[in-house]
Amino acid sequence: MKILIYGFGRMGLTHFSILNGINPKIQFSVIEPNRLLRVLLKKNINARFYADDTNLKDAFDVTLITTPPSMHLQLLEKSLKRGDKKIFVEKPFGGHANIKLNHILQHRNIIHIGYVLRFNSCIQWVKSNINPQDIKSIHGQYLSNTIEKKPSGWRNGSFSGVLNEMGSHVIDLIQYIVGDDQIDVLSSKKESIISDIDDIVEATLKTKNDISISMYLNWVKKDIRKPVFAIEIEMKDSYKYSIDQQQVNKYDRNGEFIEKISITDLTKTIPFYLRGVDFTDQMLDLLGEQKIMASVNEALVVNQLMNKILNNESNTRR
Amino acid sequence: MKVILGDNQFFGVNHFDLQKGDKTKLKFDTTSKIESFINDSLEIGLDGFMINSNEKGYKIVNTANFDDSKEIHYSIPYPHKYAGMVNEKGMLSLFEHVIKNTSFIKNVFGGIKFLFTQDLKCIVPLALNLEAPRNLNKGNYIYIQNIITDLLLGMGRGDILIEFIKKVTKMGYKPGIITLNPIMLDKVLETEKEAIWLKDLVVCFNINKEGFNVFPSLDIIEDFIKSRPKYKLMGMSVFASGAGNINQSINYIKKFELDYVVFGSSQLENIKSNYSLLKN
Repeated sequence: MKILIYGFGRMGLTHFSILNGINPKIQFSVIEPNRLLRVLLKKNINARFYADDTNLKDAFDVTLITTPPSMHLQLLEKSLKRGDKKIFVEKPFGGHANIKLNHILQHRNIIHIGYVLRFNSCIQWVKSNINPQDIKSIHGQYLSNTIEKKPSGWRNGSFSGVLNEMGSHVIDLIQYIVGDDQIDVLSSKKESIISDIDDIVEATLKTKNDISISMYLNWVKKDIRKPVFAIEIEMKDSYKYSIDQQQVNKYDRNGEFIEKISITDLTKTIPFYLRGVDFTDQMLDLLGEQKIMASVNEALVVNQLMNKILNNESNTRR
Repeated sequence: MKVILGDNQFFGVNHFDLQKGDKTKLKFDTTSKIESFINDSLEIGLDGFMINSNEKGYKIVNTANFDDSKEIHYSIPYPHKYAGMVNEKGMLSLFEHVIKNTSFIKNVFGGIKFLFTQDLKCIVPLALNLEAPRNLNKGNYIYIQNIITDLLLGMGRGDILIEFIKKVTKMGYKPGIITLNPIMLDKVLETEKEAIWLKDLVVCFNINKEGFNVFPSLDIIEDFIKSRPKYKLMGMSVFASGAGNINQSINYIKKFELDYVVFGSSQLENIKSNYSLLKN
């Protein structure tokens, strides 16, 4: 199997290591424009390294695009032209500005987007056990202390921000759980605290089926050691579910705790572990039948919603 | 089987319940509280403690006094510091950080070698120089954290792990490796069957009766333990991060011939009762 990776930053390296851990017979080619990094990688990693893709004419079995989001679309178009068989693009697939893509939708079956939180065992439990038609409202939250100093480069520009980088995960999860891609933005608010872009975002939304959605995203929360995502679901019968990476808690209509489904109840086996079961499962799904992975259509809905949230008239910038 | 105090409770790590993790972190908000808890645990009878090279861990090992008969199992690096660095400044910032912050002498030899060969192996002594506290007594253990071990295993660079073991041994310490892929690591170690350091090496991996985060599977890991490799085996996450029934978990663990068990708790009573159950 021949795999091409565009960009060998933290995500490129993670995916390479997992795929190589799963199947050491894979032949890797890597496009890394940074000369110094390329020289270093060539000496240390068993892969072919290129400065650009000019001389790569033959189709690859799998291509991973793990560059900064501003390059996602351009590289996807090149990969499609080359005839690559499966193309994986890291979330948020070009970000909130990447919304007019009719020309690539004919290839929707081979393009997959890396919303890794879908692979979390608790989210998979919710997907299998909660009927979206019974949901009344859903609240999504993402908290972290990712930005401690003003970031440099693209991470301080319009392709970054807590909404593009973390909120896209939350929107994708909500869309995945409610199974509805027709969602409207009712209100939104954003704040810049450390970076020049959005560090805190709040929004309210509604689906076509009348499910109320609210979101709170904050990546400058100093007391958080490890990023936390959380989903709260209220059912039409007033029962509630509280979900994070490690557990699903169910409460009755009086708020009394009923049961807990823990990640330890949902134990999985994987052939190679790095950074979490979810990351390995994602790569296994990519190599397999892509049953869980986000489609390009779903990723476009996320981008459109982010665009509306960032450009909504009720935005306030402090 | 030696019993070692783990450090997750000090730094808010709880794989089962994030909120619980944050609460226990508040209980240990100063190095003196952590030091005192470690000393109390050692007095109960624990054979030593494991601690990570984050800011507090480094300070504790460098400044505090512990009973010399007890073992210190010091793990490097502090992964969140380096992940943040890569997020903010890119991959090359890691090398810049290591080279800028190591001693001049180490830099002259190690840095020049790295410049000529560009082999990541040459970074190992520099990283050890940077991360190991000066006051960590020889004979204690230095481990490499699982995020680095497993990344290197996936990259196909098990040779860097061997280099780490050799350099730690040369410094007068004993080597340890934490991994969630012990079978893959075992294959790397097969090439070093006759190495003298093998008897001192400790390989630390997850084992619990629930099979929680035990990879590639519980059956395979049980067989691996029973195969009794030449190096020492340390079981971690033995209570499945708090999900398991303590008595059943301990009875399960005692079925195996492990050299070490590491566990943490924020309550001294729990440390005492778990220790007693493990030893009796």
